[in-house]
Amino acid sequence: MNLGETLIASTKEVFDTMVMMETTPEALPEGQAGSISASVTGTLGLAGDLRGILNLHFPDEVARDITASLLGMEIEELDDDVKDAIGEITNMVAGGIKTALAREGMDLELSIPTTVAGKSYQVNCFSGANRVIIPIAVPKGTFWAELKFMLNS
Amino acid sequence: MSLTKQIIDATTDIFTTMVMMEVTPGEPITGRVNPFHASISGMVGMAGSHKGMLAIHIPEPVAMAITSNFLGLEVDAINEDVQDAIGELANMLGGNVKSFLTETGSDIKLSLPSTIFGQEYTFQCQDEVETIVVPFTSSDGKFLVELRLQSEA
Repeated sequence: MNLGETLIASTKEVFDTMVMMETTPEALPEGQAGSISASVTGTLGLAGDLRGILNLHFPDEVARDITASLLGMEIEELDDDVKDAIGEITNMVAGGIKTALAREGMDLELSIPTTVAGKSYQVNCFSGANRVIIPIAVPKGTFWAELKFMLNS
Repeated sequence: MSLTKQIIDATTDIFTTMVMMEVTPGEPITGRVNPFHASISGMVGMAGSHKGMLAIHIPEPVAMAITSNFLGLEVDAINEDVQDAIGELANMLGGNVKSFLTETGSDIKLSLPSTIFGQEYTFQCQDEVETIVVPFTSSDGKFLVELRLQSEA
């Protein structure tokens, strides 16, 4: 199975049905896999047949626009509403990946979402993990969906 | 034995035997501990019969001292060695708490550990999650160990 495709499909489904926002996956600019500038990251641990972590990285304006669309209200600043919404979106995308993997006979268990926010931070996994990262365009900009994982044999 | 006591015992034990550093627990903290400044956080997700996450939040100088002790090498920046060491600490703490929560430990699975670091960031879960935060003091400074656990369904 292609985990990149699964990640794109799960993200699209959440944005289509819950956020009501069109998403367009983009090609990753060459040599820029390491440089993401995000103000909010939803992160969630994955365990079971696949051990890893799902990260959704959003610039400030994109995160606020997504929260406004999800909650149906104006969002002026990166407040607790935004952090809760990003955590919940991360949880739903992870749920979609769990469902997709179950169809392939793989068991995936989810931990709880955590939201990291700040002006300057990085989120890394330990250096031996595999990585899939996909830029996804929305009306206010681009966010990044990232899976870091190892397959348990 | 309470979870708080288990976190204190696990942290003290891992620091004494693996990091070769004496640490003293303080009074558990209630309320917000964010934001973190010039720090690194290691976290690992827990999934299965209990869902949650365990994190350790460490100021940069303390994280470098821990890594030097743990790996037996000099570090002078938050590099890959520090990230791997702090991720591994979260992993070991998660493994210990996991064994405490279930008789065999086999009903809870851990995600891959990840690290977050930067000059200023906040770190938050959803509100309905039980939170235990214990501060520790070492000869090189203070750090926090945080456990978030969703109540069993």
